[in-house]
Amino acid sequence: MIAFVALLCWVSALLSHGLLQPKIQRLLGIGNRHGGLLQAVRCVLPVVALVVCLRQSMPLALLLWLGMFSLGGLLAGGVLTLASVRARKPRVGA
Amino acid sequence: MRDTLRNRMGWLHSWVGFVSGLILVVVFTGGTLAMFDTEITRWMQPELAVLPQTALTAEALNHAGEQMQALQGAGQMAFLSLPSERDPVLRILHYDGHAFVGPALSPRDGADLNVRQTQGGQLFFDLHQSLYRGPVWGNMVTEIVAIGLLIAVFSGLVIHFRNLVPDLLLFRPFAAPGRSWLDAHLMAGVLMLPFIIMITYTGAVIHGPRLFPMISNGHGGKAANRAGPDKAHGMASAAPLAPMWEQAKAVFGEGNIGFIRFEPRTISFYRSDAADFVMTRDHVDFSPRDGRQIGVKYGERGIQALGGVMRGLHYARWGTTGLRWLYFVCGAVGSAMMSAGLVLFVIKHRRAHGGTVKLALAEAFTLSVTLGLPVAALGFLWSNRLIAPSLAQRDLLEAKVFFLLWLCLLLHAVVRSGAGCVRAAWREQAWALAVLGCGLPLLDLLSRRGSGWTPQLDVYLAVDACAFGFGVLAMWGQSMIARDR
Repeated sequence: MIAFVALLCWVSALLSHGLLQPKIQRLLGIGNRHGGLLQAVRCVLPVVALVVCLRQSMPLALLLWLGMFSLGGLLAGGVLTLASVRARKPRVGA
Repeated sequence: MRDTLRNRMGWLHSWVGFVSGLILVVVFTGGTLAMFDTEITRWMQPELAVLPQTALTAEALNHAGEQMQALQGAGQMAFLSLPSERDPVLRILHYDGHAFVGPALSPRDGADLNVRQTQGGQLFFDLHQSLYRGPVWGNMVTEIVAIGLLIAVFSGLVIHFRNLVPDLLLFRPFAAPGRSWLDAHLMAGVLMLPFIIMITYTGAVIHGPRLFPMISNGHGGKAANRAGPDKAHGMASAAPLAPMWEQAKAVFGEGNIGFIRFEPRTISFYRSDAADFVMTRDHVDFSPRDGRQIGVKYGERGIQALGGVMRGLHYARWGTTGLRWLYFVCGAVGSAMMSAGLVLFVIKHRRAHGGTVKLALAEAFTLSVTLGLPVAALGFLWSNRLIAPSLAQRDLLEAKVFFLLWLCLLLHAVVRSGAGCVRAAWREQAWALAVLGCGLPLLDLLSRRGSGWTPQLDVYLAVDACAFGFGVLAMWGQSMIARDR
């Protein structure tokens, strides 16, 4: 459960980070909307994940937090890649 | 100034990364599989599938002790591994130069379970640790490439410093091949950076004393050599083990005894690696003559316990199954990241060196470590079920199948790359991976039909599912190569 919550936090934070990047915004064809909210999510949720992980003993807590960053990043990257491929199709078709 | 530094680092990253990367992919893949070495060994001994779950009994331990006594009398060095959550049987193990092998005994009565002999998952451990080349040269090479990896990571960070954070999640599969591979390499590299640095640093430190004897404790980082069987003293074990086991449990706790070593003057009960994060060799010693407790020896303490911390972090034997899966996924993605780096290297040099023998060899080595190794690993699992269980020295035969298959795949890659058909070679090896991976569950089902196959969530299903998953991934990969043609 702790790992799952930490993973969820990292995926959300990293998705927010991705959506704030101009290159990804261009790929997805979106503007810089909700920038403040995304920045807040990007900053707060990794700390929340750390607090959740610290319920485990050390060094498991630290390994879990870093490991969930890696897994969360892969998941968030996968979501953004799928979204960019889908966003590209209509433009290629047109 | 900054561009000069980046250019120089680019050269360093490219060449150090490629040369070490060819070996590092093998080391990382071996280590990833070795994370579940015990489970793979169990999969490779299907006779254990029908063994009912029972706790270790005093009768079984005493019976095993008698067998150890007989072995000791015959001058054989072996130790007794106690049942654990990951491996529910007693094992009499000896080191054959590559792996700890030996018979499995029932934890109920100590009877021989007649399992097939195999190196099991320890083949991957040995491949990871010393490339199956022994503790001197093999270890030294893995140490050197580990340092090469740290150099490649550092130079890679310098090269991509400006774009590391903004491009953290940027992957464009629709871009030109070079760009897509670079995106994949960067994304996996940065996301796995904490794991890669931790695992590489701890791995290098664990065997550091071998590489730098000047900082070692005089015996190459290994435990002091123990005396072999001392027939002159004639103090073979005579006392039953069960009472000693009870006393050892009182010292280290229930379920925290890992294995028992038999020395001429002592019988030592060692604390399990799973007992604590700091991996030590704490042990309780008993007199083999009357079973009297001689003493408790604690390993490294204080600053010297740092070695135990490094080993604990690297091996993660104390961790839960979930943590081992985390290491497994990170290791697999780390291997894929390095393979992407190797592919980038050959793509970059195709324009300038296309058609040369040097590039064909680079392409062939890249292919044979990226796809050839997993195919050979699956071939190793297949050979386990196809070679007769009672054949003498079948464990060595299985290892030979693994290396011969890998050699054949290397030759295939060399021939196809030399003929200018490298893409076809990638597709063919991906097909081989797909067939062997997707077919493994069927082989498991057929080969265990006689010994009571039951559908349940166990190590057999986990290995089958992983092989099937990698098979499907390979099938998808080959279709992507075909589509890009």
